Amino acid sequence: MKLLIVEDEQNLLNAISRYLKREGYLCEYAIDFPDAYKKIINHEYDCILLDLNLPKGDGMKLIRVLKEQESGAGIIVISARDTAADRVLGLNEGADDFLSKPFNLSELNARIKAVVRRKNGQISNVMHFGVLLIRLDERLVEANGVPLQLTKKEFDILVYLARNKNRVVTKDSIAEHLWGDYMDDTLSYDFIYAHVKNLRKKLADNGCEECLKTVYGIGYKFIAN
Amino acid sequence: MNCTWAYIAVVAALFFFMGGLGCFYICCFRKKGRFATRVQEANKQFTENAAHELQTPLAVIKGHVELLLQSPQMGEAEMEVLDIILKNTNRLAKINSSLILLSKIEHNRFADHEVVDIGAVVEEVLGYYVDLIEMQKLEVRKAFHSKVQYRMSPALAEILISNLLQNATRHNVHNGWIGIELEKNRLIISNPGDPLDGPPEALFGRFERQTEKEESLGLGLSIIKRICDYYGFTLGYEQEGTLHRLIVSFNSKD
Repeated sequence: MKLLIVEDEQNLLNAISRYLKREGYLCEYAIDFPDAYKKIINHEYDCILLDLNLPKGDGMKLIRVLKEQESGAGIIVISARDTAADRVLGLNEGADDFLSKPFNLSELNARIKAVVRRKNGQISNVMHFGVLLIRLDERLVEANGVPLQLTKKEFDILVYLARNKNRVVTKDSIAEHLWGDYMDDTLSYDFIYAHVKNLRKKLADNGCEECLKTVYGIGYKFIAN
Repeated sequence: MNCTWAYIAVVAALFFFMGGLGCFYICCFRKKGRFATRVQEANKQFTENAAHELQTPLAVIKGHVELLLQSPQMGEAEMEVLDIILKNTNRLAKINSSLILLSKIEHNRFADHEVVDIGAVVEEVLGYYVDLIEMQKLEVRKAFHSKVQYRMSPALAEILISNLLQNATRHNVHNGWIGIELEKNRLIISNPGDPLDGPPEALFGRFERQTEKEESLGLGLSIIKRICDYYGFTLGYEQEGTLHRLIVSFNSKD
């Protein structure tokens, strides 16, 4: 999968690309408007991460260019200006998602996968890990062919961890993923702990003992080979 | 822990830098006359721009900490340090967004007024807090005696109600309850909780915290107050022993 990261802050660009390269993505970069424009015109991408505040031009214009080209690329806006107006404008212009800075890389990674999946339709409906099968559209999980009875939150946590497989995902990041701003940290940690415990038991009862690993006090890791 | 101190130093330097920039900015305008309005305008621009500019370095810190978390060389002790850095970066980010919000309200950036049904907003926001309420085993006691409608920004209405409900859940007791009453032009949110330590007048100031809970920023109530001031609502607070009551009186001009 090929990504274009349009971001003028070099340090942030580095962090994003290092995280995403480990997913096996091919990452290309642009650090200003002309650079991004040239790349968009000349190449095809599966997904474009786009900062709106760019040197030498407005990032919003790049969305228009992509739409005129009838590009099939998913567009995720990453912006420091989290105003409802910017959000609405970006989405109206044709962006697929909007993530405000500062964000978690695990959240960004999950959003990329969700956007690309929506673009590809049915092809990527199923996530497959050994004996574990996650059917995203139906919100069903099967282990060794046996459907698991998961609550909504358990399912959401599992998908989030699976999208960041073999990575440490912090409890903060899970809390933010599930509830956004509507959360109280201390309470949400207990809630996540209880849900992961139940989830792990359901997985273990059906032959997936080693799927979810606790990483010290900080978070969890979904193990997939 | 060297890492944490270095981090704190970086953040402190960042804020000093902002302060310095602010003075410079204001001084530049001073020369051109119409001092008061210029300064006001400069301040307005500056606060918002500076706060926005902070979001990117915060994203850089967060991103790199997240990269370190993935390193196999990190043991338990290192992970704990990273966790502290990450939590405090998140805290900074939340404080920053709250300050951006306060500044935007002060500078009239919410001009999209329409008729908002307060009861409907309460229902909507309650939906977001279902898990939080369930975690604390709180009972929601709703009594909507009358339909309250007001012409205001829907975004600010949601922020107002959301902060009121968050305040009532955060300072609640386990197995407690939240009272939500709507009567003619009034919204009353009540909850049981520890008695106040300080004077009630201090409640609505910025960074006034009545709790040692780390996640409490002390900005929630000042956001509520600011929105009420903006629309000319009266915000009252009553305490009867361990019962706390926040009352928003919408004026009846609409």
